Amino acid sequence: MTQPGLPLLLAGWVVWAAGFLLLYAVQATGCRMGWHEEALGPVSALRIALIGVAAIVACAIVLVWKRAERVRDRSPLGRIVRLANGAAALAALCFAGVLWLSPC
Amino acid sequence: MSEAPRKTALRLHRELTAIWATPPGLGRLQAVNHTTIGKRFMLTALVFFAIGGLLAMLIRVQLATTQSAFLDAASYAQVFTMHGVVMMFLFAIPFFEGLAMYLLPKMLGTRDLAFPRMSAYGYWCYLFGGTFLVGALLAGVAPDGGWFLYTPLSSRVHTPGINADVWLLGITFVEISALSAAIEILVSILKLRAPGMSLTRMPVFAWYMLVVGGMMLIGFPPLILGSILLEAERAFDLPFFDPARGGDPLLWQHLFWLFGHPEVYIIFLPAAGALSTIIPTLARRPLEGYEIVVAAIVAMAFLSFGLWVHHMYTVGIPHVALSFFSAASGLVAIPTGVQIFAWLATLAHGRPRFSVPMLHVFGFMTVFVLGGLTGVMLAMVPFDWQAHDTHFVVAHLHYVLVGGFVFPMLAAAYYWLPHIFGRQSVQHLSHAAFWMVFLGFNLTFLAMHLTGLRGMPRRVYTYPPEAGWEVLNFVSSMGGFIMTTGFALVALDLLLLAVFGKPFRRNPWQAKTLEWAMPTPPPAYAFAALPEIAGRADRLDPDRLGPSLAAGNGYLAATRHGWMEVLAVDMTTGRPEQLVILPPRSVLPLVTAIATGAVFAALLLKVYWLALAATLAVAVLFLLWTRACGLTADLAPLGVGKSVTLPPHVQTEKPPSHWAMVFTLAADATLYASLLFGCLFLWLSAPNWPPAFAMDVSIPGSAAVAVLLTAAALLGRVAAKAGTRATAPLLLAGLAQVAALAVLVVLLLGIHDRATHHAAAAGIFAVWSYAALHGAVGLVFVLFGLWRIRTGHVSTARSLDLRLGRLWHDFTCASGLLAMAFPFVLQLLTRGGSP
Repeated sequence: MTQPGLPLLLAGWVVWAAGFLLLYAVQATGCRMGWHEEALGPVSALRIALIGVAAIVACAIVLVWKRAERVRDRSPLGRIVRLANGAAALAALCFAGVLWLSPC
Repeated sequence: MSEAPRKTALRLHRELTAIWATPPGLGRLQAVNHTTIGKRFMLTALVFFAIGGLLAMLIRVQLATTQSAFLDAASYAQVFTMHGVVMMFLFAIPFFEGLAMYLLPKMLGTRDLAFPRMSAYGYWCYLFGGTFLVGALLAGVAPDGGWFLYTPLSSRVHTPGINADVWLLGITFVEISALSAAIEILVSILKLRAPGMSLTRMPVFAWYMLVVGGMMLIGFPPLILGSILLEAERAFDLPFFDPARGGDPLLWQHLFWLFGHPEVYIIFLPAAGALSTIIPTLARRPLEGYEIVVAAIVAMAFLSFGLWVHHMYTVGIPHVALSFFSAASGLVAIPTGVQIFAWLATLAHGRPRFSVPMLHVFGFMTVFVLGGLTGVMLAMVPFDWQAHDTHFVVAHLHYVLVGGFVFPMLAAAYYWLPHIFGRQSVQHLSHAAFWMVFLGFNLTFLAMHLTGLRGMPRRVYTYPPEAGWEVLNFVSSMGGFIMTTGFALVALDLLLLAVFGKPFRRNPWQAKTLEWAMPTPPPAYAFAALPEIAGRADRLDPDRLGPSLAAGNGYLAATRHGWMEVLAVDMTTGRPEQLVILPPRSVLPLVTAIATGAVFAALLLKVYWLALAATLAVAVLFLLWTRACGLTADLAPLGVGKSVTLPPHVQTEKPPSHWAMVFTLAADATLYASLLFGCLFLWLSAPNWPPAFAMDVSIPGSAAVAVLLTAAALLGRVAAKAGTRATAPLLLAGLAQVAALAVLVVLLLGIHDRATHHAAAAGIFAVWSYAALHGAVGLVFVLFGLWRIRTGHVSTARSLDLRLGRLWHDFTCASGLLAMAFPFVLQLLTRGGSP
């Protein structure tokens, strides 16, 4: 049984941080390019883009979390890795504003 | 104990002291030992704390009454700016750096940090940079635009003197110290632990410092970049922050707060690490929830980077973006709460001793929790819009910083000063001093919340009588003076402890961590023999372990060739894998820091030829450092005790210097990413885009640079594998770097006139300058490699010097390719991306 290392300890939060920056960048770019004024059905193109990115980021964090959960290592480091990645998965909730708040 | 082992222990002590100790007199200028440098950092930080406190008193005198004539507006601006600058940059960060340097090797069961000369260099840079800033205050040319130096107030138009330049250059000088400390701390914790000390056997303080080291590595480069860009605007008129020419003042705020918010946690987490060490000892019970606390620290580190815009809620950011930052700001209370409940549970389950450090722990709990609660209030956008830039925010930040750093620092001082001086407190003044600080603090800042809620803005030097703020301000000022008197009593108490305290035999707190398994005051070598760790390193028995180690029972319990030897271990498991031979003490760190200071002084005086000459001197001096490193012959694995043999670190694949280079490049990459994203931010947000002129860029020139940098990287890789036959590929790599540099200079000359007309061209100029600088440093690595081959330091087994160069060439190639592509991407965006 291999011990999980520092990369897996940080993985969930690295994905969260990258997703955070990506969402902020998509929001700013979309506003600059006028995507919020292009309607795709009942919602704007920008909101669809933001929801899509948020969903992808959330899925990526959950996948990392699941990967950490699959490590059957019962050592303290294994438990810390699972806790840290679980916390990162829950922190994806802070992207929920893409569903209803004004994007620009 | 028999006579024979005592003699052995004494002889070992003398031999190790001769190798590790700092000589007296002028020899002190050569000091590189972690105990000495750590103490110097802490003492110097306390001097700056006193200066910052004095400035705070000047502020309180001025604001005590309405329409006070004590200070004029200009002097007041310098005083409040320097109060913030001194407390944040010259006191808080350096103090914990010093504490970490002093404690980490001792807690980790080793003899020194991974790069002792870098510690010394960092200290001198800090001392000179801090003196430079305080000297400017005495000369009346101190920074006066707030500790955050917002543009456009700090631009040349509005601050034409050298005040802002002093901030930009002085802080960058001090930040060299912080970045070198970050790399030092990271590598030392990951590699230089006692054999058997796996990651999860580390004392929790080491986990805190590991996370803080990583945060500093990523948090400081955006500030350094912002300082470089603003200085470039002020000195060379490159308009990064001028909206009339495609710049944006908000770019400064983003770069500053990308550093500034994590900074709060960079200050708090070491203090929390000290608390997580002190509380279990005083509660006589191991820390509750070690694992969840470690997970919480990791979460705090990342969340703290997701909060930077919560200082910018009022600048006009759309709701959805505000929600990300507001939610992250609220979320950070959870890992903070996890730690607070872990400490409370430890106290609740233990048998607490109500000693002086515990009083300060009580002060921390009360003040920090109150500061955290107002922090959650300010994290909510509608409340922040009401309280923004009022004294409510000033009160909040003082509750967080004094609660989260000063009270833990005082607890740590009373807890570890017996270790430093070998004497215990007699406690005549300690209680009175604590209560004066605690009551004075709350009187000052509790009242200040109300002043803020009544609408008093920050940074005003006077206010009208009809505003109704005078009584509250007077109360705050009186509280401030009581607190200052309390701090003076603390200083006197600690002085009395150092001089007249009660001597003790060993481990006065009955602590379970390794730093107490040595004589106090500690010898320069820390441990006569390195311990084998078989369990958690915060549940040891120092009273039994200390004498055993002093008698030489452990690793490296003998001297060899006068070498300063420590062990490097596998990062995760703690299995010993290298014998690290540290370079001896030297005056070079001091001389190099003086030369570095000359670079900044020349830049301040705008004598650019002197700045260039001093930069070359710094490069030459750093090369001289390497004369004491490495081996000139391949060695067989060496015995390190307990029948273990290990190779010298220069003959291994990934010694500490490899990781130092990796971390340096990570910080460098963060700066570069900040630069690229900063330019893209201007395209997105700044007015007056696109530029009125075409930004035609030479395609052949860009392609030539890309090809030459790629060739240099490939040749660097060939050289790293060639051992003593690396001369030819290195020479070719050097030629490729020179040619790339020449083409880059031509490209820069072609765009430099347009760089002052629009931020787009200024951005390209900055990105290419970055590539050129890396090419020039790459050339230094080539020359260094050739010199090392010539002096016999390189063989197939000893190729570390060439492999470090390879890492640099690879990074230069990757960043150079991006730099060459960047203008075309920007052109594409500005042509096709206009709304």
